[in-house]
Amino acid sequence: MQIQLSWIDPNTGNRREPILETPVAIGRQFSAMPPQNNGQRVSRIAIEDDLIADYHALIDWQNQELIIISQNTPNGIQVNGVQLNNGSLDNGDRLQIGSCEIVVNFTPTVSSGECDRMVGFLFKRRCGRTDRIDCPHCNPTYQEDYAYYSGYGDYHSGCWGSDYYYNRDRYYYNPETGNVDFTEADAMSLENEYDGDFEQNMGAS
Amino acid sequence: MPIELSQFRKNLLYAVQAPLVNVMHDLQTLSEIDSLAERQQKKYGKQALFSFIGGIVLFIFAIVVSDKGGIAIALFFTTLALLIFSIYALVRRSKFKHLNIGNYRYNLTKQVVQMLARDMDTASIFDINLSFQAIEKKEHLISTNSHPHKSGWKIDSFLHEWLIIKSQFLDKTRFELRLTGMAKKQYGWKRGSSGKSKYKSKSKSGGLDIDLSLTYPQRRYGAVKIFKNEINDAIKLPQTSILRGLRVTEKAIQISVRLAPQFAEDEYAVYQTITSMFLSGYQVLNLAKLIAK
Ligand SMILES: [Zn+2]
Repeated sequence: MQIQLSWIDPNTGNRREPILETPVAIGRQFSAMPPQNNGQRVSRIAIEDDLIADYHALIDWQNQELIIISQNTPNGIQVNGVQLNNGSLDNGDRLQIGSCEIVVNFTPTVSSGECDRMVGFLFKRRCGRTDRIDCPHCNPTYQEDYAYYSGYGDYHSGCWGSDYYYNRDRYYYNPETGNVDFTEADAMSLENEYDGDFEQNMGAS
Repeated sequence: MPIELSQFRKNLLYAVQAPLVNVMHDLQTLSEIDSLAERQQKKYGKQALFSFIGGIVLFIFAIVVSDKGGIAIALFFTTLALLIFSIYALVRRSKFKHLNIGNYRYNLTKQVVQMLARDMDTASIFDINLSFQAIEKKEHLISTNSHPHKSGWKIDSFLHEWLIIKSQFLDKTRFELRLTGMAKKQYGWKRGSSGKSKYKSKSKSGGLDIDLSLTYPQRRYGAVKIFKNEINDAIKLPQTSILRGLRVTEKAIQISVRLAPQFAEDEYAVYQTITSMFLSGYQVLNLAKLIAK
C-alpha cells in the first residue's frame, strides 16, 4: 500500500511530496536505515536535520492500520502534538520529527493515478493499486453491497452507537487490564459538568 | 484437493482446507458433476420410457399377429429385450439421480465464500464442510415423539449441519459459520373410507439455523465490552429471519438466527441473512476499534 508524505525540507525550503510504497523509514542517514523489513523493500527518506536520528522511525501497515514505530531515539515522535514512541496513524495526521512537520496522506493526489476504489467488505479500505487495469479487487458497485444493512459503518446521530462514537476520544481501552475507561481529564470535565447541572437544579428548586 | 468422484458418490460430502482459488475451482467441478448428472438422468429416463413404449407396442403387435408363429415369437423376444433394456436404463438413471445434487447448496457456498474472501488474505485457508445429503436421513435423526393429535402416529425430527465455513479475516478475527437444516416427518397408519388401513408419511422443513461466531483479537476490539448490553440494537436482519441468540464474551461475538421454513432453501434469502449477520457483527467491532484507539 502507498502513502504520501509531505513536508518542507529544512535546508532548501522546498515542499516535498513523494508517494511511497510502505514500509517507509525516516532518518538522517540513508545508509543507516534498513533496505529491507520483513522481506519487504523499505522506502528510505533521508532528511538532513540535527534533531533527527540517523534512523529515526519506521512507518508500516499492520492489520489494516498504518503505524509508526520510533527507533529508540531520544527525541521521539509527536503525532498531532502528542509525544509517543509507537502509534497508529490516520489520514491527514501530522508527524513531528526533529524540526520537520510531515503530513501523512493515505490517498495521494489523483494525478498519481492510484486506484481509490474501495475494496473489502466488513472493514472498508482503499484498493491502493497504482495500476487500474484489471484491478482484481476493485468493486465499482461498492455502495450496493451494503443494501442489506443500510447505514453500515455510520455511527452518526440517530444511528446505533452514536453516543459512543461522539465520545470516542474520551474512552481509553487498556489492553493490559482489559478495561475501558474515560481518560482522566475528560472524566474530570464530565464531573464538573455534572456538578454544574446539579447546582443549577438546586438553585431552581 | 480435487474432488474424488467415487468418494463423493458415497458420502456426498465436500470437505476441504484450501485457499479461495481451489475452493472456487472445486465448487465449479461440483456444479459440473451436477449438471452432467442432470443430463444423464434425463437421457436414461428417455431411453427407459421409449424402450418401454416400444416394448408395449411390439407386444400388442405380437398379439395381433399371433397366428403367424415365427414372426410372433421374434416380436415377443424383441419386446422382452426392450423391457429389459428399459429396466437397465432405469437403474443407470437412478445412479445419476443420486449425484443430481441440489444447486442451492453449492451456489450459496460459492456466493458466501466470495463475499468473505474480500476481507481475507488471498493465501488464507478456508476450512469447508459442505454436505449434499438430505436433511431427512437416518444419520440426522435426533428424536422421535408420538404425535400430539393422531393416536399411533409418530414424529421424527432431523437436524443436519450441512455447511460449515471457518477461516480468518485480515484483522485476525476468526469466523465460524454454521448452517443447520431442520426437518420433521410424521408417519403412521391411517384408516381409509374403504376400511383398509394405509401407511402414510408426511415431511416438512423445520427451517434453517445460521450460527456465526466471530472470535476477535482483544487488543483491537476489546472495547466491545462497554456496549455489551446494547449490541442487540446493532443487529439488523432481513424480514425472513429472526434473532434467536446473541452472546458477547471477552473474546467473541456469537449470533444465532433462524429462517422460517419457507425461506430455508431460498438462496437469496439465506445469502442476505448471512451477509447481514457479518455486517451486524462488524458494525459492532468497527465501533469498538474506534473507541480503543
Ligand atoms: Zn483498484
